[in-house]
Amino acid sequence: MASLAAQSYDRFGVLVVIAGDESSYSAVDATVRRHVPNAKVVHAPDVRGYGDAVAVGLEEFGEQARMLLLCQDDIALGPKVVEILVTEALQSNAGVVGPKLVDWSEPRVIQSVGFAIDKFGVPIPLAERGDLDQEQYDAVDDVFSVAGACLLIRTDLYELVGGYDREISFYGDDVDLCWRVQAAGARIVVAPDAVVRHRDALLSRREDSLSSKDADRLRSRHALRSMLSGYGGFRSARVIPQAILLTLVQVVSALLTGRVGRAKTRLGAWLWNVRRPHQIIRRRRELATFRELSDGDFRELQRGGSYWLGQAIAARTGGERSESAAAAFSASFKSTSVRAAAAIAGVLSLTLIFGSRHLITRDIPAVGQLASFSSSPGDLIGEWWSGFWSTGLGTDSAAPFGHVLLAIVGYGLFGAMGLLRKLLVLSAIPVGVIGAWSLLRSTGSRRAQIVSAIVYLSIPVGFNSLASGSWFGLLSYAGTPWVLAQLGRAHATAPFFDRDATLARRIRAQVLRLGLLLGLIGAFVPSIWLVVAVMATGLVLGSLVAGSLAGTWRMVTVAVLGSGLALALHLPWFLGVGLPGLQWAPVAAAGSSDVGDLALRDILLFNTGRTGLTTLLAGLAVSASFVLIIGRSWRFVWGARAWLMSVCAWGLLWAGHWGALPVPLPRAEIILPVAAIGLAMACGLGAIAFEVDLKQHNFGWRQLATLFATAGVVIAAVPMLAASTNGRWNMPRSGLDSRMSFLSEDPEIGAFRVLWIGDPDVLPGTGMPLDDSMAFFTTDGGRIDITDQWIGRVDPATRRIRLAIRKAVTGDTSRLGADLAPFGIRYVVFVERIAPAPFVDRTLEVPEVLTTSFAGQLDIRRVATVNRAVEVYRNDAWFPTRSAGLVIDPDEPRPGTPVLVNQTGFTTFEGRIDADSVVFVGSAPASGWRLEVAGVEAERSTAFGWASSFRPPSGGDAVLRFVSTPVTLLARALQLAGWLLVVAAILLLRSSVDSQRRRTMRRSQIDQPESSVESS
Amino acid sequence: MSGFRWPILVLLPALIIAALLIDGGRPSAEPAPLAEARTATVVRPNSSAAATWFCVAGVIDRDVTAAVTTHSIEIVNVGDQQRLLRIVAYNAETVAGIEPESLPLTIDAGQRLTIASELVGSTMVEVDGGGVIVEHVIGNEIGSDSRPCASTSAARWEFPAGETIQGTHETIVLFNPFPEDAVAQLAFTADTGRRIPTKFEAVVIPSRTYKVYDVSAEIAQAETASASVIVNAGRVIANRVIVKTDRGEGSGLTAAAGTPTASLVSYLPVAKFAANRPTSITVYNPTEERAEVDIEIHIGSDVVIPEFEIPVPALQRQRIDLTAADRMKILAAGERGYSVVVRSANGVPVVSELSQLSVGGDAAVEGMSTMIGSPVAASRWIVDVPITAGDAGSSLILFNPSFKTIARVELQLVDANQNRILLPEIELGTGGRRAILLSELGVTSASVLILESGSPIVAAREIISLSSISMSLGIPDASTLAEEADGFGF
Repeated sequence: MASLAAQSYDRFGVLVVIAGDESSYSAVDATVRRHVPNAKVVHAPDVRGYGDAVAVGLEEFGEQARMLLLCQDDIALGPKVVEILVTEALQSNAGVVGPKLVDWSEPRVIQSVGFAIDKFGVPIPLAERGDLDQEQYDAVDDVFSVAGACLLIRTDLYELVGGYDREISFYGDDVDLCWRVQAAGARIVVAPDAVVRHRDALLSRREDSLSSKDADRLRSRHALRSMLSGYGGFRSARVIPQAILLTLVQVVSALLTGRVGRAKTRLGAWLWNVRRPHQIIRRRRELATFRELSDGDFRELQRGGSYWLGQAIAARTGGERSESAAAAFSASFKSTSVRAAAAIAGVLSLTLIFGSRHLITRDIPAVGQLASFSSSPGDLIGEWWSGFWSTGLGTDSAAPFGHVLLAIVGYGLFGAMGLLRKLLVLSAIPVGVIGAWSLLRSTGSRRAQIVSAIVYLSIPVGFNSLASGSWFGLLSYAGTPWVLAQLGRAHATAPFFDRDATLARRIRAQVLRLGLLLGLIGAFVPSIWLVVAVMATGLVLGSLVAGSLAGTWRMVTVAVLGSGLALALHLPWFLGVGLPGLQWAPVAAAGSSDVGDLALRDILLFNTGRTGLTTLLAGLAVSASFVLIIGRSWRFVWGARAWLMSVCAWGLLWAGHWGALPVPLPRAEIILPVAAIGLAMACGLGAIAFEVDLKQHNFGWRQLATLFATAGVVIAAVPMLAASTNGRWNMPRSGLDSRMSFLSEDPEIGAFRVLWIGDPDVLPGTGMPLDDSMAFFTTDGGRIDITDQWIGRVDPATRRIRLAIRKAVTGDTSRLGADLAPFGIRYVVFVERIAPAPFVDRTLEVPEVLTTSFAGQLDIRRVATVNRAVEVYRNDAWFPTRSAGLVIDPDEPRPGTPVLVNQTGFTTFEGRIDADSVVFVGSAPASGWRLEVAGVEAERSTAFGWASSFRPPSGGDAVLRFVSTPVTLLARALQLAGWLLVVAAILLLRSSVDSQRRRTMRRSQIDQPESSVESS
Repeated sequence: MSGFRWPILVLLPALIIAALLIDGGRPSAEPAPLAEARTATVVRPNSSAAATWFCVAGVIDRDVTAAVTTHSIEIVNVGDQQRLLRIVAYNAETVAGIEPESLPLTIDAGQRLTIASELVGSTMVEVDGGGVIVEHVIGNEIGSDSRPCASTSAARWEFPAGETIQGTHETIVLFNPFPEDAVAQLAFTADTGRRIPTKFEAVVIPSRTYKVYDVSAEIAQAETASASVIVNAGRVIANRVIVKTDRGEGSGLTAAAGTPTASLVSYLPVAKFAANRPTSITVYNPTEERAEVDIEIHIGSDVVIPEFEIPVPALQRQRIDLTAADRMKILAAGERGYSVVVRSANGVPVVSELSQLSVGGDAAVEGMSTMIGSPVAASRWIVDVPITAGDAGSSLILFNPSFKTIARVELQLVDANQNRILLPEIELGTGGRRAILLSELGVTSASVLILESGSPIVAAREIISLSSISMSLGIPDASTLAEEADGFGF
């Protein structure tokens, strides 16, 4: 205000718009009055940003002036600034004139002399930030845009273009305004003789805690908004697709360099704008009304291509030309290893994209467990909330919380569940690799991160999971590095320090974070607890072997509490499924035969699937051993821990292979990521040992060992590169669903079930153990869904199915169809491959004794060969799961006719029932079903020992529904509240740490003399 | 820290190398095939929930001499509980695809039911538990034969010793009680080599029917015609009937359920060396590999007869006339019974069948009989004796195939009055054989013998009636089956 009062030009009035609450207003008003007593002061507590504030001010004052000097509150004008700007506006016939902005405390340092923009609306500073003012920019020049901190604009022009975009709160409002001014045909010039000091301290001064990430987010979304609304139609059609492509590149690049936030920012910019189509269309229409120049007419003021891309290339090629707005970007590229990191991240992302090209561009087949997501988000939520879980024969135990998580993301994608499935499948491997990259971030060594990511990607556990259609394997691969990172931080020893919090808070936060992480993974992979146990055991053993127990007990504490918290988040499911009888199979989804089939050599070389040349992975042993040979201090200790973690994972699988464990193991792809991340971490630590520890030795064998270690990593990448040529990581081209459409439900014949039997590794759902090698599960109709990947409780009714099959095998029945009929089983499908022939060769044969026992049944017939991958039998004795007129005789049930065929709700069925009918409902639990006929509830009794039969007193319109108990609903509510509490607690702790950081920063600023400058 | 470096550098490779070395010695986890699936007939143990029996017979033409004209079913409950039976009879008029009405019956513990019909083609007996055996008696004016019915269906059946020379008529009956049609191929290895008659390349046995195939019409003048029934779709139960009409040449009728699989070892307990008992053994190799086969003769004493070592080419058969073989002359001093063990020496499974004629001279009865070797031994056998008339020479034959273990066999007789009579224990030395006249055991009417041994044995019977001779294996208890896993002894 003082600088305004001291201007040589005095034919202007001053209007101050004060945002903020009453107390802010009073303080600022007093300051304004002290310097410019006749200034008008407007209090606008509800303004959303700078543009909004300007608009409010102009409503009060604007029409009285020919020109407007729009100033933000963190500048100080030189004494002749207003005079120079006005003069220049008149002389140059410019619509907008901007001053030269210099640093507040060091006026010799230039901040801005205007901007160009790139094709995508990103401002490009014409002066490099930090340039010393040597009069090199002291000529009046046309620019695309001037900084919004201080600019002079003609009032009529301002009104013509609609002023600042009021939707743009901060960042990018100036570029947007100037773009419209350009389109209106007015000149924009910089008058460098007008020097304005600028603090540029918006972030640190605001109480609403705008962070640098927020600033980046605002810049991105506002630049995109300007681009979408600024270009004419023809140019928009050309530029927008390029912008989409650029965003994809930015996202992949950000993900591969571990900058998840940056990726979110780029995607968020699009989402923010896509949600405001009407605003963009309105602004385009407004622009069309006053457009005088086409886009090409002021193109010379723009720069071609992408500024971001140019900077990236310049940084990688060591180009010296760098411009100030890219300082943040360039800062992350200042060391050689960072450049290499960017280059390698690019190569890795390109490899991933190349290797996944057919999966990206075409449908991902329903191979193995990668079933379709045919349930809508509403169905998923409904199943979870209703208290009736339709898995198997139906159960009242809680459905997994994964239903809710999938539904939430599904809603976020507007119900596009197919897209969700594709994203989940395709993102699993990148997420795992990013996890491996992030794992060693705290070491400060980019080289270590690169090596860790490359090794983790090269180990084909993820690709094999993809090729074999293993959801659990994919998710375990994606999540394991992140879990290890949490366990690492729990040690609170080098390099995993967390300096921002107290010890108690650290442990609390770590438990919460690990609990949430395990809860998220465990929602889909129930055996993640086993993975954590293996990791923690390996870390403890590694600590013992390395002679450093520091942090070990803290890690164990966090692991135990975190696992407990995760279990608590899934408590309703666990109580319903795992706890009764302490059933291991449903919890661990165990019983895979591949563990038994894998020899130790295969386990050590991760040879679990279709990826070939895995012998080349043997070189990783050399690479991972490097840290044990060279490493010192924490490098050695963590190297030992990483190795022991791998050894524990291998050892567990080997013990399973020998049958030395009391319980069956889940499939190898779930546990092998532990070994993989252990090797990746050891290799990464080896890279740090190379940087730090090798220097302490004279030239000798250790340096030669470096060559071998490097060669090991390079050679190990060959199998992955070879697999990438396939374009789908050896995933079969077609799924079983393509051959099984004949199993689709037909309402006319009534509801039925399909019994699926096969090796757990090829079954398209998660099965319950039938014997040592086979598993089975049932589906309603022939449709297999993602929800069939969760196993339900092995309840007495389900055991009856198992018993019936065993009876057939032992020759104790020749009418298995009649035994299966009460379960509504119409088809029995033996599965021997994950995908139809000829798309996959690996066959896990159903034992002949099983198929022959089915073939020898008098009431089951084999359906003509569908495909070599399956053998299908039809049960001639089946009857619908909702039928009437049935003879309910356990020895000789007689079929009835289908009833209640109209499904009107998730657990509601309607239809007409004849008088004197006995209605059979073949869904467990029997006690939950209620039948009302003509408004009267029918008497229920248990049929076949597990199902329900109803004897309605009369005929009429009937409604069958499942009635949940209040306890069930309360349990669901508590579970939801538990998840929200954990998320809230993590956010609160994080916010508390952020506040502490800001307070620290502000204290340091207060200590500086410049901070006494008035502000509002 | 350096103090911990070397231990870990040594420990890790040592662990991994040691584990690799140990892992190399792990045996393969290949599941053993179920012994039960290897034999056509077993009796389900008492604890079983159900059992199904298939009694297969049929007629080509009522007017020909060789036609089967009588088919009766013998059902005996040797268990200790009453059982429900569901009997479904199929005849020539049965409509394909529709299961005929069933006849529900109950049978008490120890009870015998005989269901005789003028001509019931094939019959299925469903039982609601174990402990029930079902046999059938097939006959015509030439003779009759009594055999256990099949307790399983299969996708393949082997018949090693068929015969179609003049005066002999062979038929194969395929029974399909299942809901889908079966398609089968009948392949023969006769004197002129392997042959699949065009008519038999793809025969369709419609659902819920049986079909009779006249082998003699297609494979003419074969002294030995081994047959394979290969079912390409569905499953069937197969039975072979041979009728020899030439009087004075061992005329008679023999029926045999085939065997579902070839095996490395098979046991043929019943054989007799006598001038009027021409005996031959046929070894059939239904596989694609050449088999090296040893045929051991066990006479139950210290006398050792050198084994026959014969090669059997792929898909071929070898027939040895045991009566004419020089090495068998050692038995010529008197009529001696012996048992035969057919053992594959090179791991290629084979099927064996013993054929015996009883011809003129001083033979009491003229007749013919065959017995397909048992691929299994068992600790519990049920031997039914449905025919007792003129049983002067009828006997129970026990054979202990073990090289190491003496078998002590407890016998129980369940007579026609449902009395259970405990008989004296019989001891069988290693490789031992005993033939006991049924009359010595007190069998005077249709009865059942229940044999329980401490170790696996093989039991059979030979029934000599007024009009025929009949060799037949007993029915092993499914819960006590044992087979030589490696083909080299128990």
